[in-house]
Amino acid sequence: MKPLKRIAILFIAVSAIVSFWLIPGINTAGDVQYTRRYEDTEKVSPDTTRPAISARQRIETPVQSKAYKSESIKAGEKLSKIHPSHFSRAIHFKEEKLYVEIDSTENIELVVSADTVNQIQ
Amino acid sequence: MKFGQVLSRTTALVLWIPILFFSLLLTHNAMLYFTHGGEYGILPEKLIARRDMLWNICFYIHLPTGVLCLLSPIFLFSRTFFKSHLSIHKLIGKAYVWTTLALVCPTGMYLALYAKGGLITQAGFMIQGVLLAWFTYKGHQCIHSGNKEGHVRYMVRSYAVALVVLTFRIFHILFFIWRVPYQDNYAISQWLGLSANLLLAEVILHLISHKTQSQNLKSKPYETA
Repeated sequence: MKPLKRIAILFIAVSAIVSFWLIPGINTAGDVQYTRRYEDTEKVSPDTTRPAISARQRIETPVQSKAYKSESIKAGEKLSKIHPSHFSRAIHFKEEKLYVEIDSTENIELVVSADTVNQIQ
Repeated sequence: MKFGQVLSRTTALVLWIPILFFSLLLTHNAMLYFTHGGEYGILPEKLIARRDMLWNICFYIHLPTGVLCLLSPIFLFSRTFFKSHLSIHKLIGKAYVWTTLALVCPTGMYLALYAKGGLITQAGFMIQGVLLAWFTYKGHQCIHSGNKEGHVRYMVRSYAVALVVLTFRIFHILFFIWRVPYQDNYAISQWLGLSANLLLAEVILHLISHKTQSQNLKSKPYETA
């Protein structure tokens, strides 16, 4: 196959992926954010070098659990807010749908009534 | 320095600096899998795959060998290094070929069976493995038969396929920002990364051959006379 023919075929393939697969999907994800959870290695880890202790002592010693950090990318965020390390860790991010949490219907009623009272006053 | 040379060097820098930067970042991330005791990166979500012993073996082989496959071509494509240290070029080149054919491709293709994003993404990773093996093998065959031009051509294609790991991640993040649905994002990033890298490789090869032809004509002005 001639080089120019090969370039033309690949160009058509790339254009087809972009126009028939990517473009129809842009802006359809809605309000989501992508979060990566990772171990906080700056926190002091449990001391594994101390001498062996008795079973009784071991029960009484509080167990240090690992600390975790998380970082998120929101859909529609500016490119300037993306850190270079996000690119290399792209597959670590998981989708998180954003929901508005409402505690109970009573709270909504209270807010509405308070506003209404303010307006009246 | 002529304008053409300046343009050529600038283009080379524009291509090589991001490749080097992202390759080193990815290498750093790959090494963290060995220091975080099975709790890092994609491992916590790979619950089913981690029950498969072969998947675990493939995963921990694929990480260091993939790093070798990603970083060694930086030396192999360096013109200065090639001219001054041909024997080291051959040594690193053989390491690249055999690591890619014997370890990176088979393990990568097994990992593809458990890839996120459904059948389309899995097929994409499989094809990536096949293409990487094929181009690397052909590049090796070409240099054995003394075909230097063919060797360069197939090795550029081989490295372009290897670099899909970088372009895939860049597209993946960009598509987060552009609100592309998560499952589609994975598949589109994979296929677009593969196609775009191959396209870029072919364009580079076309430019190289065009430049070589024009240089040959300049150096032999009376040959046709």
